[in-house]
Order: sequence, then structure tokens, then C-alpha cells
Amino acid sequence: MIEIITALHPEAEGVIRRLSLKTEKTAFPFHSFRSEDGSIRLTISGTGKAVAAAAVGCILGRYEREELSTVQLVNYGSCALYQSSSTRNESESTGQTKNEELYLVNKLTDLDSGATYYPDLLVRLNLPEAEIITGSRVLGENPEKNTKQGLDEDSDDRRQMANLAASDGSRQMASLAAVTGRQSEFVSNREILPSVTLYDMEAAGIYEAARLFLGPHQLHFLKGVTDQGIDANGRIDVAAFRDRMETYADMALPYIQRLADTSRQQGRFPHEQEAALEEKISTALHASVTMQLQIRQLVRYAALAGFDVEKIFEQCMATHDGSCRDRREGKLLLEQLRIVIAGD
Amino acid sequence: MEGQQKFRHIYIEKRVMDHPRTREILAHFPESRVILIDHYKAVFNRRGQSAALQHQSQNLILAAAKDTNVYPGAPVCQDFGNAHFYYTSCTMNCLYDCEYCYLKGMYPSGNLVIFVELEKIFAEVEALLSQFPVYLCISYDTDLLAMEDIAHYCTAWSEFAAQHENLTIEIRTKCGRTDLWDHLPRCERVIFAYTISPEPVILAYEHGTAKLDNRLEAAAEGIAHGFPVRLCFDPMIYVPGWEEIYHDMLVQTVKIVPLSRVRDFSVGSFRISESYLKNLRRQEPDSAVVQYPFTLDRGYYHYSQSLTERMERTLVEELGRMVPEAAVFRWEEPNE
Ligand code: SF4
Repeated sequence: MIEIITALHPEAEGVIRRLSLKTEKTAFPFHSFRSEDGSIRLTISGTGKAVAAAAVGCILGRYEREELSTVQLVNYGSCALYQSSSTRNESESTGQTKNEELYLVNKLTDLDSGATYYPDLLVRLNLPEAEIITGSRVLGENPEKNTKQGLDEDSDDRRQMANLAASDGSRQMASLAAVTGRQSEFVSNREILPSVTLYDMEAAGIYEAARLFLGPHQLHFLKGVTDQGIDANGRIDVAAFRDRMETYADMALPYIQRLADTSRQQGRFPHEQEAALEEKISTALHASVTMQLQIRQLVRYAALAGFDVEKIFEQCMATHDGSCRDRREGKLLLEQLRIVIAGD
Repeated sequence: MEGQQKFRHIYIEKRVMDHPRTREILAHFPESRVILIDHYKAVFNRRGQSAALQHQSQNLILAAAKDTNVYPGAPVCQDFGNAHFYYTSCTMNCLYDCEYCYLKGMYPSGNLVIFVELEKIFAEVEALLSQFPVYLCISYDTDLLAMEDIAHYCTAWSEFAAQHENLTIEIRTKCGRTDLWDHLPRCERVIFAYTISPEPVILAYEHGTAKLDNRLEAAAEGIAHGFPVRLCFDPMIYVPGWEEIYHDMLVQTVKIVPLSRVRDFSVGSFRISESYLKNLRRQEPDSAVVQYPFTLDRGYYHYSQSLTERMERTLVEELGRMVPEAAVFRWEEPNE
């Protein structure tokens, strides 16, 4: 099952349309959309860490514990480009500028708590990668400086940030500079891949809530830069914003499809036959709980090692006139079964 | 999911980002994406990781040495009769991916950690050496020889051992490289211990490791270059038809390795602590070797007493016939 969380409806539209998701009625205070086969759901969380975390709780709280292993959670949406560091050798030959990209996030920092999170990036689809910082307020100050130009001179930038903090009390910017300073210094001094830092208001909250349910290989953050669509006061130019998100929906789709394929494979329950056999043997042997666990392990191993357990079981039963009167006899039969299967 | 380029991501603790070894290691991976972290545990200790999936796309973490890096040997490990038996984890996890590897049960992550401040670990060993002679296994929680091109730790440890007369080191490996003997410093107290497994076991369960012939050739080449070599038939893995499979392995071993020049041998069947097997089974739900119905005894899972005895005795006896003078260490369950 793929669970997509997006903060705002205009961010999600492109994905909803491309995946033909239909409105879903739920008891939760979040709009959600679902694919016809039920394998993909998209939920609109609203803006900010707290509501995003609440949405995660609602979405994942619905699953049984065993089902959670088949869930992949994607936070898809817009963000601001906070900073991009160039390496000494970096060539901008792609023609694509950094504020026209959809990024796969490899590190999340909660600006308020300083906590950092690292999703496992096991799907490889050549999306550019970035870090993201999640704050509680719209990225303010001078968006021209923060976004369009990039902050190549990191040390100058940090000085400027410190000045800003001193002159106008902008704690937000000072914290941001502190979070990103060392990485960009490290990158700019070495011939390694450049680093990009994004800013949003949900990602870290989503990670923090989702990690209570899922592992880092099940968490995915796809963030498209939409600086052109948001003005300095955080107001959205809806037309420009939608335009950009349409492009990002195209970029995100192969990633989501890949996840859906993987999830579908995991969703098959190959052990159903084993469970039936386990029950059959347990009943026949009048098994106690301990015996049942032994039977489960034996059946599991036998299936993996290529034994025909049913046949072996029937042969064992045949040595007891095809029946087992009580648990005492059941124990003897179980030991007989174990000796054959475990090679004892 | 997919596995392609090695170490697509390298996480580096900020405090070692300028360590010479960090730079040296990074130089091998110009295509990797570097992510600075405060502490290796922020990545390594995340809850709910899938070590099995991570192994298919393993990442590297470079970290400062821990406060303690040298530990007394665990009861499940063969001590080869050494009183002061220790092991050190200068790296955690392995480039190889053996299905039965206890590391998947012990560590929360499948990513590889290299502690770059090797000199701090040396200092810890020196503190022990000032009290008594030490027998130190440096390649228990990893395969250092497989990583020699990346970190050169076998070279560094060999040089360190050469300077400390009361230190004996064991480097356990499933690596099949023969070229390393020309570069590694030779020290009579640095033992290269090859885990020898039958080819069907290697193919089925020891993913990424060298084939049997390659391991044997590497061991033979090491002997030819004058390095002390140990052969470890440990862990013996139960597979249906094990008698023939292990016999074939010994026949192959005799063909390739001059057994009379092997320093010693060890024999032991697979065993693992209760808690590690529980985690390992969760990580490897579809692995027959891990899902085998083991017997639990005093906190350790192993094959039944009779199967253990048959497997180990058969191998020891056959080995004894091939090399009558062989020093064979068989793992004994520790007394309570
Ligand atoms: S070679 Fe050893 S340490 Fe490496 S995966 Fe195999 S068993 Fe584990």
C-alpha cells in the first residue's frame, strides 16, 4: 500500500489526476483520495508539522501491525530552495536550475528541535537529492537571496546570517545558517557531489510521527521547489504554483509506481499454505501452544528447504495407525517429524 | 530493492570529516553522496531498519572511535586455548552478506561503519598489553581483508602487531584475493583464518563471498608467502546431504592447500545466541539456514546434540586421517 501525504490540494492535483484517485470518505478530518484497486491513497494534511503528524497518525493507525510492513509512505509536495553549495568542479550542464527540480530527500532536520532524520534511499531512479529543513514558519527574510541566487559563498553567507540575526533578531535565519553551515563548507572544499538544502513546514513532522510505525526504508520524501509560486509573504500565486507542480507530478510518478510494484510483491502472502498445514498438524497432534510454535518453525523450515511436509506428516501418522489419540502421542509424533525434517 | 554502485551514500561524523583516513576512504568513492552527521548512531541505530534490504544497497558510515572498542571474547567464539582472548570492532558489519550472519541479529542496521580513529583502538590494546599477552580477533564483526583496498586496516594491524611482541592477532576472512600477499606486512603473530565452507553452502548462503576454490587458493598462496594460515571449518551448516558435501569440500581442500603447513584448524557447527536468532529470523524470513528448527540450550541455539556431534566428529575424523599431526580445535560449550 502506498500512502501519499501532501500539505495542500494544489500540490496534489497533478498526482491525483495522473493516478486517477477518487475521493474517499473517512471518519478522519483530512481529505483523502484512493486508487480504484485501493493500493494507493493520498491524504491532504494541511500546512505545518503538527497537522502533518496528526495525519500520519490517522493514516498509519488504521493498519494492523503485520500489514505495516507492506506500507510505503511518501511525503510529496512543495518546498523552498534554501541553499545550494557548489563543489569546485561542479558544472551546471543540465540546463535545469536548482529551483526547478523535484528532489529526493536524504536528510531531514527539525529546525525547532534540531533533531535529524535519515530515510533509507533504496529506490534508485536518478532523482537529484537534497537535505530538507523543516521549520514552523514560512521561510521569510529575503527570498531572492535565499532561492534564486543560491548561497555559494558559504562563509560570507553565514556571516550575513549572523548579522541578520544580530540586527533584526531573525532567530530563524540564524538557526538555519547554523544547521547548514558545516555541510556546505565540507562540500565546497572537496570535489564531491554538490549539496542542496530545502525548506518546508511538514517533512520532519511526518518523519517523526511515521517512524513510530515504519522503518526508514518505508519513508520517502519527494519535494519540488516552488519558489516562483510563493511570494515573500507566503502567498501563493496559484497559477504558477500549479504549473510547477504539474511538472513535478510527472517526475514523481515513476518513483511512486516503482514503490507500488514493490509493495504489491510484498503484499502477497506466500505463507497461507503453511498456515493451513500448521493448523492441520497442530489439531491432529492435540498440540499445546509450545508444540504449535515448534510445528510452525518446522513447517517454515521445511517449506524453505523444499520438503513435502504434508507427505512426511502423513507417513509419520501412518506409523501410528493414521491417528493420534492425545497430546502425549502427539509429542512423540512431533519428535518423529522433527527428526526427519531437521536431519537428526 | 536494487543494488548497483557500492556506497551510494557515505555518512560522516562531523568530528572526523577532516581525519586523514576519512579523506583517504572518500577518495575511493567520488560518486557517493556525502551526508554529514553528528553521531553514527543517528543513522546506524534508527528503529525498524531492514538490514536485509540495506545489504542490497549498502551505505558507509565513517565515525570516530567509541569510548570502548576492545571486548573480551564471547562464549560462542573459539579462543584457541588463549587465556586473554579479546576482540575489537574497528568496523561494524560486512561487505559480504551471509544469510546466517549473526551481525544481522546483533546490529540494528546493515550499513557498514568504519571507525577511522584506529590509533585510539591501538592505545586501548596497548593498555591491555601492559598487563598480559593478548590474543585479539580483529575481523569478527566484519571481513577486514575484503575491505583492505578501502581502509588498509589489515596492513595497519599487521604493522602494529609487529611492534608488540605479546600481541597475537587473528584476521578471519572469506576473501579470495591472492594479490594482497605481495603488499601485506608479514608478521608471525598475525594469523589469517579462512572460513572454509562447501561450495553449495557458499552459493546458497554466503552471498558475495569468494568461491571455495578461490578461498583455498588464497590460503595456499598466503602459506607460500610465509604467512600463518588457519583453516576454520566453522560454522558448519546443516544441509540435507551434508556428509557428502563436507567430504567433497575436504577433498578439494587437500588438493589445493598444503595442509601440513596450515598452522591449525578449527571445527564448529553453527550456533547463535537466543536474542540474535530472534532478530535474524525477522530479518531473513525466507532463509532456510536461519529458519532451521534449532535446539535452545542455556541461551544459545544450535543443532541438536546428536546432529552437532555427528557433523563435527565426521569432519574432525576425516581431517585427522588426512593430516594426522593436525592441531584441530573443536568448539566446546563453555561450562557454567
Ligand atoms: S563474512 Fe562473516 S562477517 Fe561477513 S557477512 Fe559473512 S559471516 Fe558475516
